[in-house]
Amino acid sequence: MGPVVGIDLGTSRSSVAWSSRGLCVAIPDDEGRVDHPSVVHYPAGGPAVAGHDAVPFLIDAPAHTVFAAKRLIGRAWVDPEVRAAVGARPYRVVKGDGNYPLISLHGGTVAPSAVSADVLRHLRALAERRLGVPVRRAVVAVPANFNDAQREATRVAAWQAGLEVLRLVNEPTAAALSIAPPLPDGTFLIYDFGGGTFDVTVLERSADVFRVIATGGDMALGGDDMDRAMAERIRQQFLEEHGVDLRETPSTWATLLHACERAKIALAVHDEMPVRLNHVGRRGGVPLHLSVSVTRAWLAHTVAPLVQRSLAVTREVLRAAGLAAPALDGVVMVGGTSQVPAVRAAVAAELGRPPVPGVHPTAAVALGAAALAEQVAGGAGRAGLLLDVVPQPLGLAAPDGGVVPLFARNTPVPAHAEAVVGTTRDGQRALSLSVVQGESPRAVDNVELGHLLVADLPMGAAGQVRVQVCAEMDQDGMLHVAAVDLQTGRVHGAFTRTLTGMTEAEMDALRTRARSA
Amino acid sequence: MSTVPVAGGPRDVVVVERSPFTRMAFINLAARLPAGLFLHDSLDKALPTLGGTRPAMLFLARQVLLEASAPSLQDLVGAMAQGRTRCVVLVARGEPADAGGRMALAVDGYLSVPAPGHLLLAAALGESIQDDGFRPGTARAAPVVTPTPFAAAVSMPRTLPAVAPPVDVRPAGPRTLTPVPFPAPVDPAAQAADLRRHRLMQLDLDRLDHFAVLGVPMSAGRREVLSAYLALVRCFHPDLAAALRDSRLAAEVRAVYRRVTDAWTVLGNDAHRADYARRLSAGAPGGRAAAI
Repeated sequence: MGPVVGIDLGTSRSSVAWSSRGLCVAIPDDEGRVDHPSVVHYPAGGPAVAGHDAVPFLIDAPAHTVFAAKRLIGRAWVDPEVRAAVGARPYRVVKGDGNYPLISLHGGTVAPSAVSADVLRHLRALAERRLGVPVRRAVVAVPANFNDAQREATRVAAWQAGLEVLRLVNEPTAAALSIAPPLPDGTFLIYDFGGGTFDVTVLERSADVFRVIATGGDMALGGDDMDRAMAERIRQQFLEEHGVDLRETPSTWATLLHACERAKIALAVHDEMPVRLNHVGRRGGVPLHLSVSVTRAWLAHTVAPLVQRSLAVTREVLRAAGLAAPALDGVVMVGGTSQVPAVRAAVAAELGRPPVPGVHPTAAVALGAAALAEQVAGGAGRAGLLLDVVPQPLGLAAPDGGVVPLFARNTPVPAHAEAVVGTTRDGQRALSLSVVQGESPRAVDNVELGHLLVADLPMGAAGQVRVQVCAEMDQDGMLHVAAVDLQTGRVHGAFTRTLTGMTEAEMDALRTRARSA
Repeated sequence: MSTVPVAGGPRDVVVVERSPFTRMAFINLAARLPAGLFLHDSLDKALPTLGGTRPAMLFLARQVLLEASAPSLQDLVGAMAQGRTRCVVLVARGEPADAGGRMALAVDGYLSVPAPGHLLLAAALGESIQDDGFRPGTARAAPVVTPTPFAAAVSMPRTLPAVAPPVDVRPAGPRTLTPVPFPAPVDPAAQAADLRRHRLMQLDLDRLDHFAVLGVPMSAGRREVLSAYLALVRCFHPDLAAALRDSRLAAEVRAVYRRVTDAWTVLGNDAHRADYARRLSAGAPGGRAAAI
């Protein structure tokens, strides 16, 4: 069967780890690095280049080098996050047939999930090289707040990369498994600030059980927003002083973003860092150079609005958990962005609880996923039993534009729910039920996950012909839906996902192919 | 992934139940089994994977099984991992092992089968030994063995693995076997809880009310409800059934786990619980369909 690896597929960086008898190791590349940039360069001919090797192409060939595909994966064209990406990225984001964004490259297009698949393929290759055997199965971590469509797209990406997904695990929960020395019994808040997503989870550990009490997040908040905020401030200053817009040249802008990221990381240790770019433009025939010095205080001021957004989410999740900050036994700071001093100081001031030691700042999620992978595969290591929850409310779109609730947020999974829906017209023979996920009470403001078509209904007056919809959310946060015609008892199981346009049976076929590949 | 080498492909462990607790212990054992070893809860399910034929040696097998002194599970697993034996049939009891509600598998006897060709055991073996009238807390009647017409034509494999104690193959005939003593319950309350847990797998869970599923009185406090839920999680979490090759049993575990989670979803939320208790007191059905 081969080994099962744990994968953290991040917005800016990814990691892959492997566990044997409870001992987890992050898998390095040839230079010993364990965080692999989620960047893929597509040359005009030849195979895609992913990971560290693709990073230079961000500056050399920005139009054909894709980063942050995770911010697009599983999202509709109308999604604000996708709208924001169009035009703001050096590569072209275009509208695909199914109202989903695609990335235009060399006259063709690739889906965001195909880019993620290339990142996963790279991770898989690294693991195979290290372990010396084929790797076909994985536990993949996703942001806790990912909806069903985003989870589905991630699974599809893994299948395309030839990986069978044994489990999708929520990133903060996975991180809790990897802490060494292990978390003591108690209630903890996991503050997971990654490159492109932000999650907060409150969980309670008692012996071998990790029970999630509440979770929440901001899927459009990440460390790369900080890099952009820093670069934007430098750009403004430079524009005022020299009249040159650093954004005009994509490669200059990419270089500046990269320099800001490096400075941000270095400021965790140092008080002041230079940001230097040569030949950013010309004025009066004289080459212009950018040379500024950024301090911790400058960084703290620049990122303050982003940190405040994360604190607002944190407060909201604590409220949903029915807890006050003093009831927490500790705070687990996960993700590269949580290492920024301004973030740590703000969280400490907000919660007044000590950070839990022993968290690997970047590989925690992958290590936890690996520990879980060993457990799920029936190995000797015991990671712990995870009890997770539904991240966002889910329901049916009602005829009046509202939502018929199926699952409330923070319902423990596996969860099941039923709702009875009636026809709205006399003699109506078919019902098309749309399943939506999101916080809004209006169906159109939420994400449409898919629809269930119930055909061949018996004739009857409006409201007299009724259908029972049975929904189940499994441990991976994935949805299964079927409808039962209450008159005939017939089961309609064809739930078609909007994202892939595939029914569950078709998805199963795809999964089987991934398994036997 | 475990690194225990298992030579020559997957091997099978068949557990023949001897007590109502075996099912729980079985799940716990499955969770600890090295990779490459597979559990079945009856010979029926093991046969296809072993390439065995419909067996006819019920009588002899039964004697051997009951008379073999109980080896430790480690020895058996070790022997299997070294490839000396292909299949082990355990006659086993579950016993409460710790306060966390875990069950240990106590082996009363076993039969190891070096190659599929030797697996001429009765598929009926499972039912035959399982249904020996034993119930916890009652005096246990010694099983009576009746001769079968096949008995004379049968001989035991000569190449038993080293870990197996010498097997005395006696001529078939009616005789009474020494009953294996069942250990006195350490803690009656714990045993009652385990029995309830086992029953959960047999009851009509969809109709049972949430309090009954978690095994708590309606007056139970939040902490009590939570610890009852966590105790059941430790028995039925799907990860514990990950090593089960038997998909039917794994599905059964998942179904119980779903039901347990349902009960917690309602009883773990104060508002939902109050509402549910009110409806239950008013005589409403309290089963799975009773929505939040």
